[in-house]
Amino acid sequence: MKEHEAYKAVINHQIVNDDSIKRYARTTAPVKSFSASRVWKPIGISFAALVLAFGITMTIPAARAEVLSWFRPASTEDYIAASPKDRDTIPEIDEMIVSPSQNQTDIKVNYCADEPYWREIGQDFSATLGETIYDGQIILVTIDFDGLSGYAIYDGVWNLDISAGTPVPSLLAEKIAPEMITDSLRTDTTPYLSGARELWSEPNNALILTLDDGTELDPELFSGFINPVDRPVDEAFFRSFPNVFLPDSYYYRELEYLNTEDAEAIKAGSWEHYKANGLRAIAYIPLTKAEISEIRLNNDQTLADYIDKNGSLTLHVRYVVSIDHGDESETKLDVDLGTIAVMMNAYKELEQHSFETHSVSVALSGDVVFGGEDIRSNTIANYSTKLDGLTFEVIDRGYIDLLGIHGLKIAVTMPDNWSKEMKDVFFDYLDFEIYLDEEMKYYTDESADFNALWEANIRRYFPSTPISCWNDYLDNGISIYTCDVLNQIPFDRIPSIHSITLVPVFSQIEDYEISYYDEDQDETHTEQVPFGPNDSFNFSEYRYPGSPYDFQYGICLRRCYEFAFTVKVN
Amino acid sequence: MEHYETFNRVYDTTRDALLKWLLPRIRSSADVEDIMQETYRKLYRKLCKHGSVREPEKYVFGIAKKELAKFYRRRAFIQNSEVPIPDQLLDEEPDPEDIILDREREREIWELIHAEPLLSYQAFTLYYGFSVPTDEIAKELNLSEDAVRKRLSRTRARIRKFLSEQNDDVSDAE
Repeated sequence: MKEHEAYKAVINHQIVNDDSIKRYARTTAPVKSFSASRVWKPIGISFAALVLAFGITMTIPAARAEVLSWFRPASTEDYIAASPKDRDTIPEIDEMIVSPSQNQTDIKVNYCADEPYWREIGQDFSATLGETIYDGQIILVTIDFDGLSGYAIYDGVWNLDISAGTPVPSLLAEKIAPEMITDSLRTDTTPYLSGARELWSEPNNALILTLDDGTELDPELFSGFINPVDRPVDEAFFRSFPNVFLPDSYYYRELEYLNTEDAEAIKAGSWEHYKANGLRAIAYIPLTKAEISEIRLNNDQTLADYIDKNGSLTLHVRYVVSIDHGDESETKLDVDLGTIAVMMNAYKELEQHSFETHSVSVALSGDVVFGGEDIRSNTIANYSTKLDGLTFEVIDRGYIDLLGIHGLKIAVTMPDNWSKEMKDVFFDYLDFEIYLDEEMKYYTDESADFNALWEANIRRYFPSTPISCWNDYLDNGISIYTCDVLNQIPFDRIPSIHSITLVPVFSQIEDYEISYYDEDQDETHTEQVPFGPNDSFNFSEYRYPGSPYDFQYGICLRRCYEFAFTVKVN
Repeated sequence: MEHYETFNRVYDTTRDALLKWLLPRIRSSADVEDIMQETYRKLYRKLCKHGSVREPEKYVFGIAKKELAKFYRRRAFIQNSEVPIPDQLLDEEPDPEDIILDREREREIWELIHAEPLLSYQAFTLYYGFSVPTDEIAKELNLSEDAVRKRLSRTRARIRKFLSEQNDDVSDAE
């Protein structure tokens, strides 16, 4: 076979599996369907693994889960969430903020569903745009909604405790017909598909953005969403119910501890509560530097072209609420809110303290067991091996400013005698625990879901996904791990930070669990299997589109304090 | 059964075009396959519900664009910058001797291709897999045509080096 013929054959045979695609389409489209199992790719840690490890079933509607994945509780957010009169002023952060007087609230209801509750939300709709701030990754805007105008943003009472068969949807939720269920849940969906149990879809909101010259930004690439802000008056309302368990942040799943009676009482009471008190919220518009300068809009310009000479970007904001029924989405509310101005370059003026990175490295040695999921082969595996040859080296020049740590990059060189599978799994799951001045512990993480599972008074996250983990342009097998801990550190600690200590965190599979729903018995059978240091398991036959099984595995973390290394801050 | 035949027909006529469109936009073939799975699942669903689809190619691309946008929402969108390639890789070498492919060898070559830097992988796959001319690849990937040829040459050199090492191993073993 000639060279070019060979390449053609290789590419066409290997690039996608045509049989698998066709089989998936035919077996999942007509009645029930799942997203491909790769939707929940591990970001440092498998989401499903953590769920199992902490014994909590996550049953958040898919749209809401995606919203949560953007949310990063942060010091800048806490700062702007409080009104100016209620917060301790930080002049440097105030320089980044655009005040409400420079934003222009201009409400126009484009559409409101002519249905109960929605009619009341839409009539006399009133809201005020507050402050805006941009930190280099996300635009935050405070919005005060009057009366019921913001009710669709309040999360209400979700479809809780589905496994017990007592869903408690919010006032605005709508039931999804079984034939419309297409998104995968982290549990067996057979009862919903058979109609034995009900699945409800909650409203989700989005912000549609338009530039000053009328160019509408593609909502699939540039959009935002709104979340409520914790307020004492709302917390007092929830705590007034005797059986409600409310840790510090009640907008996450803590409401699952309600019994059904309380849930109904909360639903009815919340309507009156927000009618009387309104709702304060923050709009989040993620916008990285790359997205500003590199994505071409329909008119072939970039967002950077719209930033004026003072560094300000003007955006018109439209608030849209919809409810998904499987693949179909129904708009319930569509409102123009007005125009905001955002200082896009002010964050660069913050005083920077750079790291000392030269000769900060550590070479590891000794025995280790690590493991995780190899999504390329649908396998979970633990590897018992030696660390000799594994090195971490801090490279490039990162810095700290009032927004946090920027550009902390660690070059990870893995031993030559590790197989490709071992290297892929190790790098996928490698994390670092971050200590500031060896006293505080901070992680970074893209998913705020993890927050709800940890103690409320310690912000813990996992380090962000490396920007380049495909060894691009690096021929010597070194992978780069990048950590940007933005907005994670209280402002008052930052000026005094003199060192950052990193502790490698390895993962190991502890066990796995296979469960299936027995329709005749109306119960779920579960088999839990322990996992040893050299075990591997291919779960293809349990996790595939249309599978009646649910497959999950548990991961434990090992913090390797013996391999900690420290970077000095100037 | 009728839907199945229609579906297969549409799949066969749209598959290559869809791959050619997706490849410059997504790095991983696993992600490409995910998007194709969802796209064709929705096509089949439409066929089951309505019996037929007007302008199936347009329909397939319409769904794929939405799926791609959903995919982007979970990813930072960072374009790769061009990396200069050493001049010594520009020299065109004559075709090697005929290549013998078996399943294992196919997989090994594919892994080499897939491990290349993103733009090289995309250029190589489009050129050899789908016969896209270099000027079109250049436009699609926002590169110069010269840069596309350099990347093809570099990837070819890597594969040839691998094949020649394999042949040496075979000779040594013999």
